[in-house]
Amino acid sequence: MPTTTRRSTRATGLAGLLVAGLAVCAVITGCTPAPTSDDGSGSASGSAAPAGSPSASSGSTPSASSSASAPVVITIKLVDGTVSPNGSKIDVRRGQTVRLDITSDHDDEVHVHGFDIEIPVTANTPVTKEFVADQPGSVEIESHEPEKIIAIMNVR
Amino acid sequence: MITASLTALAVRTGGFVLVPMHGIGNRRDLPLPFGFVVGGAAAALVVSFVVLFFAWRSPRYRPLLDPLARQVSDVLTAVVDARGFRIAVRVVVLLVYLWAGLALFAGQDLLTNPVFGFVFVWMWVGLVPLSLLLGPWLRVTNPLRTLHRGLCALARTDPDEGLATLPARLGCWPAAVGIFGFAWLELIQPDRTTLPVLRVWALAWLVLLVLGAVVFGRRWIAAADPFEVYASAVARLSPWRRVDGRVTLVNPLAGLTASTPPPGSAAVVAALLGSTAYDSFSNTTFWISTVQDSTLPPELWQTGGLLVMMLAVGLSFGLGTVLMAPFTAPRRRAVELPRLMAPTVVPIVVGYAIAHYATLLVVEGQRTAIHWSDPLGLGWNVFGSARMGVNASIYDHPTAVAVVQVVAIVGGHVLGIVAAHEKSLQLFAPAGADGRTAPGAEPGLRTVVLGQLPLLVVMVFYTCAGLLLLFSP
Repeated sequence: MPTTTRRSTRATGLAGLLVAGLAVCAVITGCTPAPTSDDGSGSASGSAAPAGSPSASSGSTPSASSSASAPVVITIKLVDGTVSPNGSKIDVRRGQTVRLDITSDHDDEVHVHGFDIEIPVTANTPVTKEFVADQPGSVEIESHEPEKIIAIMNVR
Repeated sequence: MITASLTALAVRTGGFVLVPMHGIGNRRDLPLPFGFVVGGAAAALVVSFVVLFFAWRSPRYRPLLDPLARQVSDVLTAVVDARGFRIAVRVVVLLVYLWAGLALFAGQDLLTNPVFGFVFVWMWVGLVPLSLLLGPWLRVTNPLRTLHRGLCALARTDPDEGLATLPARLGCWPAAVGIFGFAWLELIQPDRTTLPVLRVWALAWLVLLVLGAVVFGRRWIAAADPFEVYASAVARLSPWRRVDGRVTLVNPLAGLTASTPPPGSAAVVAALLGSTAYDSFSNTTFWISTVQDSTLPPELWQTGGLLVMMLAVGLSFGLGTVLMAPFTAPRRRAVELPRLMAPTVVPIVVGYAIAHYATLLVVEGQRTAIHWSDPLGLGWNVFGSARMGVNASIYDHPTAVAVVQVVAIVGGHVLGIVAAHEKSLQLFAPAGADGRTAPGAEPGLRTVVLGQLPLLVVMVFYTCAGLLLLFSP
C-alpha cells in the first residue's frame, strides 16, 4: 500500500541520514588533533593561549626546549591592586614542573588551589616557588589581597 | 562558582596548611577538547534537521495510552500510596534536613562542616538524578510541607487553605525568582561558605515558604520553593508517572509532553539554564579579566552577568516559541506558547546540569558524606564514614569525563528536539476523539518545518553555546 511504502522509505531514509551524519561527526572528533601542552616554556604574562593550539611564548622565559621536563614558568606581577596575568589559561602537562616567579608591591599571598600551596609574598621582594603538577584537572592560582584570579592551570 | 566557594572557605580557615593527602578538592574539570565541541555541535545539528524534515507527522505520545507495565503498577501504587510508607519517607527526609540544620546552627565554621556540601551539592545537584530516577519524590517528601502540615495539625486547620487565595496566574513565577536567588547565593554571594551567611539564607527560605504556606495554603510551596519546582521539572523526564491514579512506567518523552505547565514555567526553565550558563561563562578569561580590571565592585558585574544570561535564555526561548503561534490549530495566543513548550527544554537543562556538575557530585558528594558523620566537628563518627577518604580518581580520566559531558549535552539536545517536535505536532493539529490526530488533518510539511524552525534554531544555539562554554576559552 502506498502509505506503508512511503513510511518505510522515509524511515529508511531517516535512519540512513542519521547514521551518515553521525559518522561524519565521529570522523571530525577523531581527526582533530588532541591538545598538547605548551612545549616547555609557557610564560603567560597577560596573553591567553587557547587550549589545543600551540602558543607563542612571549616575555622573559628561559630558552624553549621541547622536552616535557622543562619547567613551565609563570611570571606573576601584583601591582597596584591588579594582577598579571589576569585570568589566563595555562596548559601544563601532568608531571611537569611549574615555576612561579612572583613580584608584588604589597604584602600578599598567592594560592595554588588543587595543590594546596600557599606562598606568602612581601612587598618588593621577588619570590620563586617550584612544584610538580602531578594531578590532572583545572586549578586556580589566585591572589589574596584583593582576591583575584591570576591564572587557571589546565593540567592534562 | 561552587568549587571557588569551597576554595574560599579553605583560604579563610587561615593558614591551617592543607596537606595534599587531605585532598581539599577545589579542582575543576578540564576544558573540552575542541574536536569534541565541533563534533558534538555537528551531531546536534544533523539530528535536529533530520528530525525536522523526516520524523513522524502525527503525535504518537498523546495521550498516555500505553503504559509499559500494568502489573507492576498495581503493586507499586499500593506501596507508594500506603500511609505508613508516606509517613516513613517524609520522616526520613525531615530527619536528614534536621541533621543538616544541626550542622548549620551548632556546627563549626570550617570546611569540614557538611552543611555546605549538603546545600550546594547534595540538594542542588543531587536532586537531578534523584528526580530522574524516582519521579516527583521531593513534592511528596519536602520537609517544608511536613513542617507546614505539623503546624496545621497543631492549629487544627486544613493545610490546603490559608488566609488568602493564591491567584492561578501567578503559577510558578515565585519559584523562578527563588531560583535566581539560589543561583545568586551559589555563584555570587561573598562568604557564602560561612555559617553566618548561610544561616540567614536558610532562615529566609524557611520563613518565606512556611509563612507563605500559612497565608496561601500548601499550594504556595509548589509555587515558590525553588528546590521543589526544579525537582518537579526534572521529574517530568522520569519514567514514573501517575496515569488514572496509578503509578506506572511510561515513556519519559510522553510524560514530558503530556501535562499543561503552569504559568511561569518558561521563566523557571530560563532561570535554570541561565544559571548554569553563567557559572560556565564566569570561568572564561574574557570575563575574569573584564571583572578584575574594572573599578566597579565584582558583585555588581556578577549579578549583572547572571541576570543577562537568564534574560538572554528567556528572551531567545520566548522568541523561538512565539513564532510558532501562527501555525497552531486551534490557534493559540502567542503568549501561551513559551509556557506550553517550556517542558521540552528540560532535557537540555538536565544535560547542562550533568555536564557541569557530575564530577562535583561524585567528588564533593563523597566529601559531604564523610563529614556527615560529624556535623558538629567534635570527632563523632555516627555513620561510620568519618575516617574514609575521598576517591577522586574520576579526575584521572579527563577524556572519559569529556565524553560524558558531550554525550550529556548532545543527548539532552536530542531529547529536547524530539520532545519539541512531538509537542509541536500536538499543537499544530486538533486532537480527534481518541486523542490522536484525525487522519487527513496531519499538518503539512510547510507547517511542520516553518513552525518548528525558530525553536530548533534556538535549541541548537543553546547546545552549541553549552559546548563552547565547556571548552572554556
